[in-house]
Amino acid sequence: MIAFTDKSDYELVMAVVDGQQHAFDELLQRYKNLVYSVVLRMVNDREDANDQAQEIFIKLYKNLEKYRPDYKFSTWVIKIATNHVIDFRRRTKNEVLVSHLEDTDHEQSEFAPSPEEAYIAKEQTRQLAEMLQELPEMYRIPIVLYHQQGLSYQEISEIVNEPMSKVKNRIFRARKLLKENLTMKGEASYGV
Amino acid sequence: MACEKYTDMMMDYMDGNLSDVEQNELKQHMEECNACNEDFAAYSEILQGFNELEIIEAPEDFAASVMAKIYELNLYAPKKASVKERLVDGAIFAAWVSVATVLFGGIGFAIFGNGAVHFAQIQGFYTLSNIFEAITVASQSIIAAIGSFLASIGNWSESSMVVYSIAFFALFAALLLLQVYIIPRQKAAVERNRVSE
Repeated sequence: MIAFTDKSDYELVMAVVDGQQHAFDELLQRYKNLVYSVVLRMVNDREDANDQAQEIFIKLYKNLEKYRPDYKFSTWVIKIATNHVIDFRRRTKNEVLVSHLEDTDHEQSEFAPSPEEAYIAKEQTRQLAEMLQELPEMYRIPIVLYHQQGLSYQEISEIVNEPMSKVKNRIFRARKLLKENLTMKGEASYGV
Repeated sequence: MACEKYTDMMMDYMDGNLSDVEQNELKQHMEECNACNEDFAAYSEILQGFNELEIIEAPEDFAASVMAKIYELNLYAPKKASVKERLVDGAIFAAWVSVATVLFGGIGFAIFGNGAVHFAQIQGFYTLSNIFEAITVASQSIIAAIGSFLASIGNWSESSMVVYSIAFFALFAALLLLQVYIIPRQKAAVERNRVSE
């Protein structure tokens, strides 16, 4: 079997289309965590995320011939992933608002924070994940792609098919909504 | 409100686009403005939260399950050529064989038979000054070769030999055009249609 690890994404796509199916496994290894996390942030249920992410990869495979290298492959992947999840949610009207995905205790950090620090950090992360779920989709998708996946405004604008100015505005608006939400929660927990 | 400017600065800060000078300006403002100070603390907390939100790893058997489905789908297996494609390929191959038989048979006949005189003229082929002459002589030889071949199988007049020679060249050129230009273009067009479906 040929080693595909040093091939570019586009070379792998061409190899698959050319009949070398196992080249797709390398694409899977490169993008499975990205797709899975993006989907999990959007559907908020590990089992659904697993099913959706698998369906997304099948969709990618079926559409490989349509991929053009003018896009970065990762941008194309996320574009298909977000569209797929939006469709899925529309179909199932599955607007789950409560977060129960932050059972990431097994992922340990290299330095050991004090138990209180660890608790606060974990609590903040949990709170953010929860607040993200409450954001309308039009704000949540761009802000997750920008801040969590590190995509540029340009890339997000290609993914959501909106002008860059609109994407930027939505991200600004999303930050403000998160901030207001956070302030409100802070006031509530301190009884202000 | 004047604070709007500083909110914009906070956005630039979150984008990593705030210069040192602007950062100082923002800091100074926040020392005087409690609301902006609180906003900034909240934004920092959000940024921090995003940094903590890790990329979550897909389940262990994820890739294997996807690959199993993909092997089952097997969309891009090398396709078998259709009957039409095989017929076209066969016809082209037969035409090449016929032309080659006539040309090389003729050349062979020219060398060892009547055409020996023409071939002898290619002496000195390797010197550069003779190259054009050599090409001319070579084409003459081929025409002569075809002529000789035709002469060997029947009783032909000289002018009809020339006509037939030209016909062979035309056939040769047409085959070449078909093989290197027309067929690949047609295949590409079919491929494009298949992709865009």
